[in-house]
Amino acid sequence: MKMIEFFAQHWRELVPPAGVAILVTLITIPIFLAIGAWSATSQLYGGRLAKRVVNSYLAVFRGTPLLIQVFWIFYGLPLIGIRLHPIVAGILALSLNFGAYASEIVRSGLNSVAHGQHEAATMLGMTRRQSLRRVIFPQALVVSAPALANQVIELFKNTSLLGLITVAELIRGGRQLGVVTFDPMASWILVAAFYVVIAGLAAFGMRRFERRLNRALVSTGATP
Amino acid sequence: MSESVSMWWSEYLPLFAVGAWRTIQLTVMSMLLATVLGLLIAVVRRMRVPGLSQLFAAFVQVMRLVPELVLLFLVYYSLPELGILLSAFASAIIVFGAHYSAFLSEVFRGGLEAIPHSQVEASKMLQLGKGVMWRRVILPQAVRNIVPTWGNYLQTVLKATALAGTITYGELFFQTNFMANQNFRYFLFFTIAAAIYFVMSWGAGKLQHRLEKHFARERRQFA
Repeated sequence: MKMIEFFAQHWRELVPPAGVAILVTLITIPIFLAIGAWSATSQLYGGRLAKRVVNSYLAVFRGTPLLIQVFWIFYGLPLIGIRLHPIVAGILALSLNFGAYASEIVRSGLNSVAHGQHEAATMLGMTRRQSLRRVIFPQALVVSAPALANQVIELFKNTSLLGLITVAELIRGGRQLGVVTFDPMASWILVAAFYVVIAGLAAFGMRRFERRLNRALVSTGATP
Repeated sequence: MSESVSMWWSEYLPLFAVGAWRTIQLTVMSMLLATVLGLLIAVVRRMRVPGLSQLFAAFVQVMRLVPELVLLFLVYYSLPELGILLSAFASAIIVFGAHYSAFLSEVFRGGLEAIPHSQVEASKMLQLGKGVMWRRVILPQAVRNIVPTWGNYLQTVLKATALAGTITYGELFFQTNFMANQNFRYFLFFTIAAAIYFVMSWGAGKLQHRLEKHFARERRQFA
């Protein structure tokens, strides 16, 4: 009962931090997807140098913790003369990290597109670039959509790490609420509830979108 | 110069080593707890135990939506309110174990469900007991489905344990941050930490590969 009173009284104070977390997520989504798409295509179709660069990028960002990457970019880069605003540093770290994982997802999506599609596009007189963009990529995206949607949920959860580099998101908001109200437990449970509601709604929305996407494809006769 | 070299030998390198060792300890303990809990959840949900099954389903949903960082703070900084005092190490094991048990339970469920029902029927035809069927027929096949994903989670947990540094558990991230805060050489120290994490997750990948090979070999024996 006391807990519910606490929630009713203080939930408004966590709305701005939640907004920051959502905003960071929304800005990061197109960046990490672009990085993922770009590195997946250069890994599959790029030259030798591009492949090598992308492979080392993937190895480094998948082989080390996100927390280390965030701190490395925020505290480390100023020492070699690159000073970034905490939000910018955070978005950069999240984009590079999630881009590396998205790359694997997009790559397996690209691999799942039947080889005949490539040949058919060539037969129709498309250049390699055109066939990739108009035929292969759209199909690969549909295949990768569920996994990428999961990535977006994970991304939203991981904006919590930016609280450690002074970005005023939910972790910061929760800590402050705990200090002001002397009730850290209720504050952290409220923060957890915010994550559950927002991430839960996002997951629900994306599942519906996926279902519609699949239905649309079936009705046009294309198979994902 | 010689002073700084002695600093490396007397202070920095030992702290990196201690941090890396504690990261490994935390990873192993968390993964053990997550595996046991995950199996429990998967089996209970598969057997459809009334009440318990729904409870575990809700637990899995919540665990998948709340960041580990929030859980760490909740357990470490607010359980003392209820008079429950846990060390940072214990808190971290509980949090990572519970969080990843939710993910692993889905992996286990998928691995069990992937086994065709005809295997159960065939076991019945051969008059195998239930225990023998599980041990000799179902589990060996399920394990083969599960091991690759389980190995991926081993690497995920290894990297996630860096978060335990934020509740003062002295693992690799904590030690690195501690040293860098003293000498301000963030770039160098976090690069070294990243390299150590990289080597450790490479090692975990090797282990995963060996496990996969091991269980694949068992298949040929049976076949």
